[in-house]
Amino acid sequence: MRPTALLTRLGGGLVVLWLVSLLTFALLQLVPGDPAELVAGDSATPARVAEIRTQLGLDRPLVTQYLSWLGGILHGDLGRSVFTGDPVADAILRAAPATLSITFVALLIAVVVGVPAGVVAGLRRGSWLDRAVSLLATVGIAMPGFWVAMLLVLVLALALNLLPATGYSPLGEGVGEWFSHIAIPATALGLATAAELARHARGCVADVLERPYIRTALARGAGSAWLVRHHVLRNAAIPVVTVLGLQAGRLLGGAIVIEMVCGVDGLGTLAINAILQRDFPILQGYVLLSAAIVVVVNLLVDGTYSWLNPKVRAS
Amino acid sequence: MRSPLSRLLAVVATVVLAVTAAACSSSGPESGSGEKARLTIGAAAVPSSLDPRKSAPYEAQWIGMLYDTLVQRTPDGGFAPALAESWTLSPDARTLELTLRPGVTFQDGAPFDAAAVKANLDAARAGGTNFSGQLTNIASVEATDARHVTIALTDSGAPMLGVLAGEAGMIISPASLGEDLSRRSAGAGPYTLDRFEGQRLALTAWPGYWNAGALGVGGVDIDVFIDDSARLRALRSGQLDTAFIIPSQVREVGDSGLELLRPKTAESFWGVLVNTGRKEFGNPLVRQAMMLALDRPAIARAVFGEGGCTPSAQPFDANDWAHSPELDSLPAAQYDPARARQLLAQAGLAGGFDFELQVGTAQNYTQIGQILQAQWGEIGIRVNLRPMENVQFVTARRQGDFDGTVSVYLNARPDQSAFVKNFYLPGGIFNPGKYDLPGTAELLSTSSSGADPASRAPAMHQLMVNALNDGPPIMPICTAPRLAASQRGVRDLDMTLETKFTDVAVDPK
Repeated sequence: MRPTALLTRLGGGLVVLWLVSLLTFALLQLVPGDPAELVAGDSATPARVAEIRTQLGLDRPLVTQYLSWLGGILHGDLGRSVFTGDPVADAILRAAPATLSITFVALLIAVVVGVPAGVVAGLRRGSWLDRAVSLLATVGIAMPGFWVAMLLVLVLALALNLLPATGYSPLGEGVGEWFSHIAIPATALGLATAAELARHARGCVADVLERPYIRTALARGAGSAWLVRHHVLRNAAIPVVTVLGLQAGRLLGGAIVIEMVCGVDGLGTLAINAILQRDFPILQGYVLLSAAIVVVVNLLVDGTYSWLNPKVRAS
Repeated sequence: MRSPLSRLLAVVATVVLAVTAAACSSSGPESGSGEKARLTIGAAAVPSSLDPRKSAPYEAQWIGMLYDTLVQRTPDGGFAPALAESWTLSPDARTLELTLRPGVTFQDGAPFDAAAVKANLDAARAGGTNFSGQLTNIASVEATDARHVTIALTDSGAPMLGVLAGEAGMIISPASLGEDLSRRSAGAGPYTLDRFEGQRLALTAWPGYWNAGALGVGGVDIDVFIDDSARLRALRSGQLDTAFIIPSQVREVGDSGLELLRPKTAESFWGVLVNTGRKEFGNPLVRQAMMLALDRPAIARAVFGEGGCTPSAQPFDANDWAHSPELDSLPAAQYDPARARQLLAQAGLAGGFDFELQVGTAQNYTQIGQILQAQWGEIGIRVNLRPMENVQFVTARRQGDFDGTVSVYLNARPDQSAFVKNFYLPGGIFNPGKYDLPGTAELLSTSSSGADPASRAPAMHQLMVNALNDGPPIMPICTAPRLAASQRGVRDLDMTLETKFTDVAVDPK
């Protein structure tokens, strides 16, 4: 990508983030009930609720609240939790490793399982292998991740006692412990994405094989292994990378449910708690972070296009 | 040159293989450190704050471990000495004198004395805490000497003991009174705070505690699992020593060889609250008819399973002194739809009427709502169910913005009299329609004058029977104990709201 194109993309990303911040803030104002109601407790008097509202600065005009929040972000300050007074950035940094581990490993599983399966199925169209991959992919997409997670916990953790049933162990406390904790949630989360990737990879490979340049190459006497490496995979990769980018956002969302089922203390749990407690600063920080991740992934996907396809680079 | 995709695949495959190999060589879960084992508890919600002045109703359990209370509520509903060694209520019930335990220090090293108690109570009375409303009947607090505190009250003072067994009795070291204690501790309780991050709260036994000899565990870890099934799975897999469960999990607990913990006294009750200022609810005949149309055993069994919630027309548990043994057998407490229809006709409402019933979104609420819809439908009352998200639901209830609402309430916190004040007296937080049955305030005052339950009971029973016969605005359905389950190796575990986790011990695994 040329520098000007890169700058345009980055600028666009920043505008998207700003719009997300505005939308998140505005939407949260529409949510009935505010944090003061919860901080005050079940049996508080209206006067106590009003007192807490003032303490939290919720009685200020909305524009002032938004501008002070936005100003904070520009200085790297995402605000503080309504309940604990902890900086939002700390809470997010503490919860992020678990979610990012699960999402990353899920993506890895999806790529490692999904792409080769799809490619092989695409190369051997109509064979029993192709049918088996297609069938498994359909089943994989149809099974909800949380259900797969519960099933895996019942079998691998409770019945066979091979893996811990819940929780997360930081990477710093040993790779083995870390992996044993995220194996179940990552597999459950990655399965549907693997299936999705397999179907796309199969379709793309099959599509490329139909192209005239493949026929020409075959006519020139190109070996099939060489052909797959140089023409089929590279051309089929672009739509697959697109799907991968889209799935990254989906995985981040799916992690919320999986974290609840597997009792993982990650970003999803943080977000759910923030919603339950009306901890708006935490929620705003979470949404902004998620948006930033999606924007970055999209930039990476765009970058990958031009790396994969010289035509994109030239345009 | 190999294609980029295959290179990427090769890298990915290598990483996965390496990680898998490492996982296979991993050891089991680490065992507890220190001499005594730690207790790991699965809780259902993250405490919003560790500051007793800001805590929500079910969080006192964790906060009390850090602060201890002046008075300890026992699992059977009585009171035992804690930071206060003894107390006396004057014959006119207007003066409560506390004798403090000598030689106690706060975790910050400051001495615990009468001046500290006075500073705490005075600060709370000035406002700014979630329990300031419980202290409005205090006229003055005097530190007579280092070990004696005299509390002068403007009305009958028996309920003050329960108040001092709750958040209001969690004494904060005076040096920290002006500070935000959301994430740190400044008490004199049995445990100190190690860390409170995200879903985990870690506490360590404090050797300086006045009753340190009773501490059977080296520390307590509280892990929060919002999802009920995830929590039980963690317990079944051995990651937790004990966890709170919901009634529908009782069978699974039994099948997996865990121990079921059922408190002696249920601390909450499910009920329907109607707004006597709206619809036809100001008419006692209508409320009586609605009570008679309730088939409580059917609701309790269908929603909570066998033994999950005990059907009762009164809010108090059968083991509570405030529970009237004869109330549940009175005609007004029976299921009698024919009589209910008669009463409605008598009220000029033979054709029934409509009203909106607010319920929470949790399954329990909506199930109860649907059964009520059917049972009241039998006598011609048409119920429109309105499921509401939690904060919205609580706010509507607080502001009196409802016709009827289904809820679960604590029944005897901080004292049994709080139920009467909240629901039956004008100005009560759950009495938006200003329901006022003559004689209630007088009976409550009589019941609040005696220090011992036996002397408090008769007036309270009379009060509850009067309200029942009048058609109460709060219609109790069943009393619900908070259930928990534990591993077999956990001994003397008490999971009631006021436990300080002092006697519990965990067998080495």
